[in-house]
Amino acid sequence: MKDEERWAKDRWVVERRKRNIALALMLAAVAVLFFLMSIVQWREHSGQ
Amino acid sequence: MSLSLTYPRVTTVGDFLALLKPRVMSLVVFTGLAGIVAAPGSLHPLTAFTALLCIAVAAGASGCLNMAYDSDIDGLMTRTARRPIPMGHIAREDALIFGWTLSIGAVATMGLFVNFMAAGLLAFTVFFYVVVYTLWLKRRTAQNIVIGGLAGALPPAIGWAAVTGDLSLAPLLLVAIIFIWTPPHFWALALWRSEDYARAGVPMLPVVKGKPYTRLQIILYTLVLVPLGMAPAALGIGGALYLAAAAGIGLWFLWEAISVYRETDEIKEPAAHRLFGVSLLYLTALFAALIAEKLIGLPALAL
Repeated sequence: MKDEERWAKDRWVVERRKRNIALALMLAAVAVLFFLMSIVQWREHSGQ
Repeated sequence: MSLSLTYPRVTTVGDFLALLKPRVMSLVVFTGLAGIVAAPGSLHPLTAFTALLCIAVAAGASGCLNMAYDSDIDGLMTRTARRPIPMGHIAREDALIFGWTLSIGAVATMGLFVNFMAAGLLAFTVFFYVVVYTLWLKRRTAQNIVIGGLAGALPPAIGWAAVTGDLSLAPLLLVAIIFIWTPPHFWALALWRSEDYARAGVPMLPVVKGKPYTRLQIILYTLVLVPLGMAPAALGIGGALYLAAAAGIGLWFLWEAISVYRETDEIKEPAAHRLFGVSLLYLTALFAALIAEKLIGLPALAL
């Protein structure tokens, strides 16, 4: 029973970590997009 | 205590992606791309990507909110019973927060980095799909998908507005094509899913008016759609490739609509299945031809 519980806990921790990493990567991608778009906007408005 | 209670199932990224209705999203992105490509003028590639991303995210968020508000009836229908909320993979409240956050984020990003016209149209699309269609029309009238179809029809206009900052007859014609295409497409599905809709209490046309009336309406809408689908060639938006696709697959669409009208197998509805497939092919082919002509540089006809 203890082995089963440990296995369930390990799986739960791994799945949660995988999800959190995926969400963090998505947020990072959005941050990079916003940064790049800011440069595009700045260049367009300054006529470069 | 059971293990499943000690360590409940983790809501995965896949669950959140499933809430965004990826297949619907892909068609919306495709028609939005056609609007961007067909519009006169140019857009920085990264701005075009951002506009498409906003359209995709807003479409997904609308689907997510639709699933959240309809979670009570989704569990009653075979087609929707395996969605994340009725399956218990995601809480309805979490889906609502997720959907509204993405909607507001997509509209704000469109306004910040593209233009306010495109952002306004995007906000209107989300509002129309979630409030007008999902919360108001869907459970009240058999005309639900006729009126509600406007939301799914708007992406080409949003794409066009992202480039030009305004609207004209050309993008509205593309909107009109999807608007008229929507009823026969969904009524074909409703013909073989009518028991599902009846069980959930959704007043789809076959449930309220019966199958013969629905078959007649499918024919009538298709008779309007086929010439309307060819109209972009007359207005200088589409070229020979577009006209060939619109005429050829349009006639195939009409042929299948006639088959649906003459269908005798009311249990399996094979003609309705075929019409559903051809309707997807029709819309994809029309917009693919439009995009291909612009990318290759084929001239528009302007008959």
